[in-house]
Amino acid sequence: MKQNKYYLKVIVLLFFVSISNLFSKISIESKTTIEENEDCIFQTISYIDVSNDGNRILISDAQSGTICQINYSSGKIINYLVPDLTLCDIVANSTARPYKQWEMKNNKVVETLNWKFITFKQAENIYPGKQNQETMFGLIINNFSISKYNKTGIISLSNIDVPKISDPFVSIFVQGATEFFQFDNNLKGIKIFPLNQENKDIPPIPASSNFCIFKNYYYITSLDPSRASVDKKSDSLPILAVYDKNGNFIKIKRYLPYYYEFSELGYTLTDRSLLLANDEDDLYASFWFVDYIDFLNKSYHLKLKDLPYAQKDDFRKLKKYCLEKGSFDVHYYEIFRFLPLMINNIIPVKNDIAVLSSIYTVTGKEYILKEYYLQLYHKTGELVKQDTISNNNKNGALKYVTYNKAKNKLLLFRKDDKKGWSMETAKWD
Amino acid sequence: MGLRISILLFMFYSLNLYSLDENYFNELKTKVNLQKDEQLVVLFQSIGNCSRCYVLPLDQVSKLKQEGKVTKCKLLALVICDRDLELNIYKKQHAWKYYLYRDDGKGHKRLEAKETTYLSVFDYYGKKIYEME
Repeated sequence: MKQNKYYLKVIVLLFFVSISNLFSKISIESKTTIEENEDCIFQTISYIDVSNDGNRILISDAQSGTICQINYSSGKIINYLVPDLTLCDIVANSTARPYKQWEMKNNKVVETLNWKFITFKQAENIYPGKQNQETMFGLIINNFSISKYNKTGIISLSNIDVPKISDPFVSIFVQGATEFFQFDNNLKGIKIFPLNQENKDIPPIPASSNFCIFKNYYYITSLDPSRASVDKKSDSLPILAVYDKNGNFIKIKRYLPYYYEFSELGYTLTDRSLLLANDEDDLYASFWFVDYIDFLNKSYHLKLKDLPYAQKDDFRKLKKYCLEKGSFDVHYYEIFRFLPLMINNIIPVKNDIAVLSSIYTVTGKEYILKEYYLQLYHKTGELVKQDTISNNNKNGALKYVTYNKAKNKLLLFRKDDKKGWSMETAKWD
Repeated sequence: MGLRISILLFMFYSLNLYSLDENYFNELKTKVNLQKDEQLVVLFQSIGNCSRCYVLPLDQVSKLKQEGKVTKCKLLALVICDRDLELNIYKKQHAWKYYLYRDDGKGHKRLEAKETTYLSVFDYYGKKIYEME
C-alpha cells in the first residue's frame, strides 16, 4: 500500500514536471548589434551557421550575395567575401558543365544543344563589342546563397552566371550555374567542387537551393519542373538528390510529399526550398506546409504535436478553392488563408530537435506574420518544451533563429529599419 | 437609399484603389528633379533580381526611345527594401548610374500599377504613357 502511494506521488510529480516544461518560457539574455559596412550589407539572411567553438557566426545573404563571418561576442565583422566576376571564370575553367537541356522528339527524349562554359575573355573574342559587354556580360549577378562550416573550412552553395557557348557554335548565352565553392576559415584559398550534371535523369539544382553534408554525402535540393511534361507524370516529383564526395549523382532521396501532389500545387509551394538540417546522428528534412519532420537516415517520421492548425484538411480546402478559381497559380495570401502555419527552420539542439514555425493572418490580399512558435522535441517524438516568440520587439522583426551548441544558447536575429541587425541570445527556462 | 450609399461608397473605394497617389508621385518628381518636358521612367525592382528582370525593362526603354514614345526621360529604379542603406546593394549589383528610391512594398499601388508591372512611364503631370508587365 505504502509502495503504491509512493509510485502515485512519483507519477503526479512527473506529470507536473512535464506540464511545467511545456509552459517553459524563452528568456532573452543579451543583445549584440551586428556590424555592417559598405560592402557587407545584409538585406535578408538566407542561412546562419555557427563554428564548432561557438566563437564565429557565418551569415549568408542570398540577396546581396555576400558571406560574412561575425565575432559571436562583439558582433564585429571578422572577414567577408563579395561574389565578384572572377567566380565565373573559375567555373568556366573547371570541369563544370551547363545543365543539359532535353526535349521530346518523335516520342524520344533528346538533347537540344551541346553547351559548354567559357571565360569572359573567350566570350569577348567570340562576341566582341562594348555594347554586348554592357548589356550581357556586365549584368551578371553572383551570390553565395548558403554557406556552412565543414571539416576543412567553409563550403558555399553559390549561384554563378557564366557565359556558355553551343558546340558546334550556334549561339552564346549566359546561364546560371549552381556550384559549390570551398574556402579556408579566412575565406581564402577558393576551390570549386563541381557537380556532375551530365545525365538526363539528374534533376537540376534550383537557384534557391539548400544542402547538407552527412557522412561524406552531399544532399542537395533538386527539382525538375519539366519532368511532368517530359515524363507525362504529375506524381513523384523529385526534391532532394544525393551526390558523393566526387560530385557524382547517386540517387533521388526524397520526393514531394503526398499533400503537395494531391493538391496539384506541386512545386508551387516549394519555390524557396526544402528545409534541411543535420547533426552527427541524422539528417532532418521537412517542407513549409506539412506537420512532420523526416529523419532521412533512420527513415523515421516525427509528427509535430500541439500545433494550432491541422494542415492535412486544409490542403483539401486549398485544392477545392483552386479548382473553383480555375487556376493553381496561387499567391501567398491565398495559401496562408488555408495553410496559416508554416515551418521555418529545423534546429538540432544538443540531443533534441527544435522546430520553428510561423503563424499568419490574412485580411483581403494582405498577410501579416502574427507570431512564431518554437517547439522542442526529443528524437523519440516527445514534445518537451514550447513557447511563442513575438515577431516584433524593440530590436525589430525576427528574421532567423539558430542555436550555438558550444555556448548552449538560442540565437535570435532581428532587423530594425533604423537600428539595423542585432542578435539576441536566449535561454529556455 | 442604402443601395445608393453602397454604390457611392463602392465607387469612391474603387477610385481610390486605382488612382495615382499624387503626393508620392511628387516625391519621385522632386527626387529626380523632373522638368515639364521630361518623362519619368520607373523600373520596379528587387535586390538580387535576375539579370533578365533588369535587362528586359531597360531594353524596352531603348525601344520606346527609338519609337519616339519616350524622348527626354529620367530613369528611376524603385527598389523594394527595408533601409536606404540597402539601395547600395542594388547600385553595386547593377552598376546603376541613375536615380534610386526605396520602395516599402506599396510602390505599385501608389503608382496605380499592377503587381506584375515592371516598367511604367509617366509624363510630368502623372499621366501614364506606357506600362510593361
